[in-house]
Amino acid sequence: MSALVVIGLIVLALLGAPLFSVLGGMGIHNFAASGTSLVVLSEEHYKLATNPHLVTIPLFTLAGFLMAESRAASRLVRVSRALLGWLPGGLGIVVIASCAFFTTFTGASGVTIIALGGLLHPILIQERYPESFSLGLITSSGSIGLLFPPSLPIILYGIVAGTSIDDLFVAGIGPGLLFLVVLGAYSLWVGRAHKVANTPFDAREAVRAIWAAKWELLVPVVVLVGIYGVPGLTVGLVTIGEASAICAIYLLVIEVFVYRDITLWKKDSRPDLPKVIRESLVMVGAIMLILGVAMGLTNFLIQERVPMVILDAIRGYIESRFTFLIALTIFLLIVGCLMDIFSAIIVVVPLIIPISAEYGIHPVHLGIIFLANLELGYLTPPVGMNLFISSLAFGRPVVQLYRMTFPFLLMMLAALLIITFQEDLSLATVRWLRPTAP
Amino acid sequence: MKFLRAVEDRLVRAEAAVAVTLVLVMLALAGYGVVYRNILVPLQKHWAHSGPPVEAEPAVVAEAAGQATPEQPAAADGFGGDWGEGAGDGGDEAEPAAAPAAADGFGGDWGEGDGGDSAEPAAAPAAADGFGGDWGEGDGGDGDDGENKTDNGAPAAAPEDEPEDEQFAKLGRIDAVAKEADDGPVGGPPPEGSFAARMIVFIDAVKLPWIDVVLRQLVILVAFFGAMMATQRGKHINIDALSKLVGPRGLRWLAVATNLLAASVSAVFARAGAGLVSISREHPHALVPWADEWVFQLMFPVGFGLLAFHFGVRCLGALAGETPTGPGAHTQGAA
Repeated sequence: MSALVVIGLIVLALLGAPLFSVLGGMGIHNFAASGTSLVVLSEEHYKLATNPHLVTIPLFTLAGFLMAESRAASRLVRVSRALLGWLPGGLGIVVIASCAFFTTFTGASGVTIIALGGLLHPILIQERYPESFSLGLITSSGSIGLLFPPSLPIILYGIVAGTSIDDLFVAGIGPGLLFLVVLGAYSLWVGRAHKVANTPFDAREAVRAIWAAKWELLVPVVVLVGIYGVPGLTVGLVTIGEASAICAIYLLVIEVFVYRDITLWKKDSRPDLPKVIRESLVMVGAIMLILGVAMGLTNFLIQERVPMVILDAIRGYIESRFTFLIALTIFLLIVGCLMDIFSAIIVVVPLIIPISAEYGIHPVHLGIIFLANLELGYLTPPVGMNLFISSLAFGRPVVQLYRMTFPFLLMMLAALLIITFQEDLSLATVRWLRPTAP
Repeated sequence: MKFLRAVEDRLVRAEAAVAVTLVLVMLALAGYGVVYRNILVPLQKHWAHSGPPVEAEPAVVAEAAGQATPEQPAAADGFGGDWGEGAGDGGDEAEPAAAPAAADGFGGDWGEGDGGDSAEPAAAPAAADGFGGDWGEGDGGDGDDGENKTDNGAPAAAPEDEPEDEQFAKLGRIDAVAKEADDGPVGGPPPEGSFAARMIVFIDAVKLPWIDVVLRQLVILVAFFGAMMATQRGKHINIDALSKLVGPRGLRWLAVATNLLAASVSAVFARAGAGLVSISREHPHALVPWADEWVFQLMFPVGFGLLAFHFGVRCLGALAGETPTGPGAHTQGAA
């Protein structure tokens, strides 16, 4: 009976039932079967209110949506183009840099492809980049900024895993840059191979573009310097929660009152503030509902020592740390192409943390491996989310996009393996910027 | 069905309006907290030492700071605050002049005091004697249990890592303040009736020690409203790997099944939430000075109840043959 219920719920999940109802259903079933009062489910949900970082979720999400709904995308593309467009294949690097910046704040990669793809695709084609490269690049870059602070998946990972978010923010910088470098190098190579014309560097245009986007370019400075200070000069001044409030209020002020891309209330074709808040809340609500409902289920699984049962089961086959990391990579790539990043974090992280600890994986490094894998999962056929979003956004069959993104997928996979096996790539930055961290 | 749809439409509009208002309130409270802690409190400290110099007791200050560091957590008896972040009842920024005496009953920042009403316990190791923090939940008080429990008695989620995180983040500042105290002559309290003295009182008066607690409750509350809007727009996160294989007729029954599941689960959670509220009402606990905890917990039965209603309407709509907006309409990532 119990197995039937679980199978039924899994089938409904695969058929599109909201994930919170599937996890909630499993929680109810397990609690009822073990004779535990269902009130505990609500208590577990309410425990979320004890987490000091909880407030960062709606505030950073709002900040991201304020950027996405304004004309920040075109200003940022202009800056990247003015600064990097002169390089051979520089436009490719423009795409990567703009998408990374944008995704860092919007968190959900779908937003990046939709907001920036429509802007960048015609420019790439106009500059005679091959069609398959252009679409492959935009699709691949759609999730490229997820490892940079203050990306929402990092915060959610920290909350669910109980790992220091400060350390995760710092640890993601090296691996995130590696992804940028790998894709950037490929763009340079394609630019040269196809003899794409270079745009000469125009210092005046560069200054004008930077001046036009100066307030948005300051956002990462405001956030990072606020949290960490300037290494060697000052200490951090604010907590992550305070930084999220500063970031949201700062973006609200500049987008509404300085750039005036967003109006205070509905008056013309520009998006209005209540609409932007509602849009951001839809995402916050969808994530937080799963997070709250899953608290009961995951704690139940941990109490029932399910991770240890899995560990015992795999111990016979996986003895070394190396083999475990390979198995983990394969598992997470499958998870990443089946589930979106937020639900994957909530459902999978509590289970793999105890197992990874047994194999000696540093918790911060595990976080980076996890997020990097899911970043790649967005591109992994057959159901990687970015493939479908691009398919819809550019009106191409998804099978074509499999082919177009394949070279990017291979290169990012190589980078992923470096990130996975070179622990120092994540942890060296933590030791440097946060020497007191454990 | 028409009537239900009309009711739902009005409900959704009302929910959206409340949600937007709550987010604006959150922004205002969070902004106020940032300004208070990072501008007003340092100013208050400055004014508190703006009087004629008095004989300094740097060793005691340094000792107090040292005792509160992670290496010697047990020495911080009754510690109930963050490193100057919490808004503990006793101390925090409020009584900076009395800082040197702050070893026992450390109540946040450098003040003395009793552990703090709603202090952020982020920095408090579980081993601290009489720790009364509990993630700033407000039951720190006299720090009598010292076990990092939530207000309803359940163990707090991941209590060890986060506190260290916050703690280390503030070490530099702690060192800087301790060094400052070590170095020069310490200014005494300002003369009574002076501008500085009046400002110290004013900054105390405008302190809202409950901001952090309320903000975290508001996050869960606005998330419920967000979830209601996600339901109405078919934007809940799902996996949806197989629904593309289902034909249009099958989709209709699929929408009935998935919405029925979601409505049922929401209803059960609403009932569980009602149970939580009734337990909390039997053992009332003032989470903030102006409201008991159960008042905030009402969001569980009400929030899940409204979600059950929205999913129920969608389920009935699918049964009545309306275009299914369930599985097909959900987008992964709700983006």
